[in-house]
Amino acid sequence: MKKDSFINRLGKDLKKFKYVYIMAIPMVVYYVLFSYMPMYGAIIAFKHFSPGLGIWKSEWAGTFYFKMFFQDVYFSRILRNTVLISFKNLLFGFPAPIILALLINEVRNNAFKKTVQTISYLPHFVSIMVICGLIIDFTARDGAINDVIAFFGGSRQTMLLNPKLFQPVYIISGIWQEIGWGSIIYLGALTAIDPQLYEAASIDGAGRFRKMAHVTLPGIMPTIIIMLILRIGSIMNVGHEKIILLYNATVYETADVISTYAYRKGLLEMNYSYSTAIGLFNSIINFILVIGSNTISRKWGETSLW
Amino acid sequence: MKGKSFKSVLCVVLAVLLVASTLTGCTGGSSSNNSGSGSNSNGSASGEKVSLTFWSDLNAKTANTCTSYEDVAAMKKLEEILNIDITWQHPPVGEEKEQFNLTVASMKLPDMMYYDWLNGYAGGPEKAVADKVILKLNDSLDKAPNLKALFDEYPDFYKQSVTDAGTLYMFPFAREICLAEENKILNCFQGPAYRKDLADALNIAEPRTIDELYAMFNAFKAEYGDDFIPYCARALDAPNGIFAICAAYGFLSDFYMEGDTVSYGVLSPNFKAYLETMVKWYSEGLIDPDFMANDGDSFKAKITNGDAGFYIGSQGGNWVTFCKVLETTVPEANLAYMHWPAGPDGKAYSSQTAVDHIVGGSGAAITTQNTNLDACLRYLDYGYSKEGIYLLNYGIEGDTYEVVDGKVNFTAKINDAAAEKGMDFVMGQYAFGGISSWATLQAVDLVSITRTYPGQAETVYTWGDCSHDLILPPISPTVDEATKLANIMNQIKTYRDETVAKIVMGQLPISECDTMVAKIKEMGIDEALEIENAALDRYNKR
Repeated sequence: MKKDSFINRLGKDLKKFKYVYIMAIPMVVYYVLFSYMPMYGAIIAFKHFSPGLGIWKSEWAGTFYFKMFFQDVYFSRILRNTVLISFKNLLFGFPAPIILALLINEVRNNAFKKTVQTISYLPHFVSIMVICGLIIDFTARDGAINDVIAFFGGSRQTMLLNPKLFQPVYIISGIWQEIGWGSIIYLGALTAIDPQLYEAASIDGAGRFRKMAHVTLPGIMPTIIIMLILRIGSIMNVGHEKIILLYNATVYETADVISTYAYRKGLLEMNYSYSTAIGLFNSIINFILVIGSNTISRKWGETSLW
Repeated sequence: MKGKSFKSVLCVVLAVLLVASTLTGCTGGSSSNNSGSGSNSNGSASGEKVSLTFWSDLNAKTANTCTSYEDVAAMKKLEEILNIDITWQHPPVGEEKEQFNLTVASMKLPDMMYYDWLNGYAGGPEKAVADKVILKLNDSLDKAPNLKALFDEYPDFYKQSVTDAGTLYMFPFAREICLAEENKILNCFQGPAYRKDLADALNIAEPRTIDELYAMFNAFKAEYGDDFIPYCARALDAPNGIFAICAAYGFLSDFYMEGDTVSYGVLSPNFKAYLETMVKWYSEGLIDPDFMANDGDSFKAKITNGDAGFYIGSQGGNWVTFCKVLETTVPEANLAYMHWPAGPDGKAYSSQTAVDHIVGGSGAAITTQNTNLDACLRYLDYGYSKEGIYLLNYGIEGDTYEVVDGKVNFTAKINDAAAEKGMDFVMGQYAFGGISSWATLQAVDLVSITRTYPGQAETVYTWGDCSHDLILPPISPTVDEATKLANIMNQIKTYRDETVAKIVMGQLPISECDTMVAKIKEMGIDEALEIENAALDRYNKR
């Protein structure tokens, strides 16, 4: 049998799945507009960009700005902070929604279940500006957290002025904000597990804990792996808005990351090319990480993104 | 069946949500583009109304009553007189710098932009011209007869308005105060203030030295408890920050004049002595423990709640505002302005920079993408005519001000409202005089007619009663130097701020101070000083 041409096949496919394609349009447009088109601008990392001359007419700089970044006095510090914050976020932030989903799954009282879910989603929908305002107030010298510490005999301090406390505050508040929202996808995966498996496990004499370990967890493992790969791909993308809203010069030592540094260089100091070079470096590392983790996952497990 | 229809409804809802979210992103972008390009279509023939666009920050005092300069009475009148329609583009308050940089980077420029070109544009004004952002105006000066007349009359004004290469790049904000030597003291609007009532209760006279200040802080602490803040500061930078104190030690935090040459704060021989004092004050609980976390609001709150004994700040924005709030919150409080304290060598300096500069650095520039150069020149030049100066400084004659025997006075309408709400608040909706800088000559008699709060007019004589030898003239580096300078200094400033904050707060030992000097040398401070000194030489030869 003769194989259809690509155009032919595409036409058939379009006809067959036309609603799926229509639904995909917004996402495709989004990625073209906000991810692919700006890639052209990355050229300025290799140029001495001057706004008046435009991208093409600006002089070529070669790897000037990359060298500048690698020799920057703050290079090792922002790299270390970026990796540390991301890693801690992954270590503590990634399992949290899974644990919440497993716990919610074990709750039998439906009203209580729904209440917990709703309450834990809520912070996700609050603007980051407001969240940071809350964090600053709570961690202030006369804030709620210090009230508790003082009650137990500790001494009060403005936590966001202490370099040792910046990362814990950042990560714990991040978990608090995203735990409920993050658990939705796992709860969804949980509903797909065949109830017969649980019945069989019960007949074999498995208790709640064993059912969780041997039925529930393996059941949602593919979802967990996919989420983990996606998460590793953005490991260098520390949420810079939140850090910018929370940090000050006293805690730069533990708070300044690649993206905040790029922000200061680009938007505050108008060093556009330098800022772009920093951003590009960041993206390349992310790219390597996502390919790497996917390859590893494909090799040792059955699940992978592609 | 029921389940299936629910699912399809859900799909549609989700799809709509997705489309809606992408669309809002698009409309947000396109609307701002429209405002930029709207002016292109308008003709420029005289007699016809000309439309121009103007980017400017909205000053905080005007923002109290207006959302745009469109609503300011003097601006409305100006558009009428000149038959020019201005579309204003204001960045959100607090994001001026980012928005300016973004506007420049996108190169979708309005006709005119008001900005601090001297200090705010990375690389300085020469770079802004070289980047083809703004126009060189030297050849257009003939079409701005009013500004030209002022330049001819006051050579110093011209000297400060151009770069070393002689480039005129803006219609500058200029202070009439500084045109005449004897008036310069009226421009000393930053200085310290203390709670005189609390000091009087302890029989402490106005502290005139750092040691007396220290004694007063200790007395406050002993008498009013651990929660009382003897010295309330806001981060590092002067005037509110703790760098304001270093003037007493004969240097300023950034570049300053050490004799005839430019030097840098950290390199001053007194830097360590200053830092040791700050460490001592902080560790003894005399400085607000949260000074690095204070913002404008918390700083104000601590002082106006009566929790603080001393601060350094500006006159209108801080002192008058604080006094007014204190009248209701702590009626017995007497927040008195005081002299700048003298340091170890017995000499007092002010940390206020640019005190005697005729041109501050801000001004209105015409962009390379202007749609009608003649109209822009006509519009901006009017601000330097006698009528324009009166209009922009005092508002509308007969309505907001009247001239009696050649002396300008605000009308009863303004004075009455000002007595209740404050002069800045009221005048913000009418004009710029005494409110904010603008591309005009700020009139000297504003001092007497806007500084109406009891004691306000006299503050300058107390705050000005010190040496101004530390202040740099308005020098400007060349394009190449400016880029290099910006790279070096941004790095050094980040490092300096962080290290000073940590040393003061006890997170680093004071010995770190010596490391700091070595480190900023490594970061290229000597090269930066060479650039600054070369610029100073060129300025002196202008």
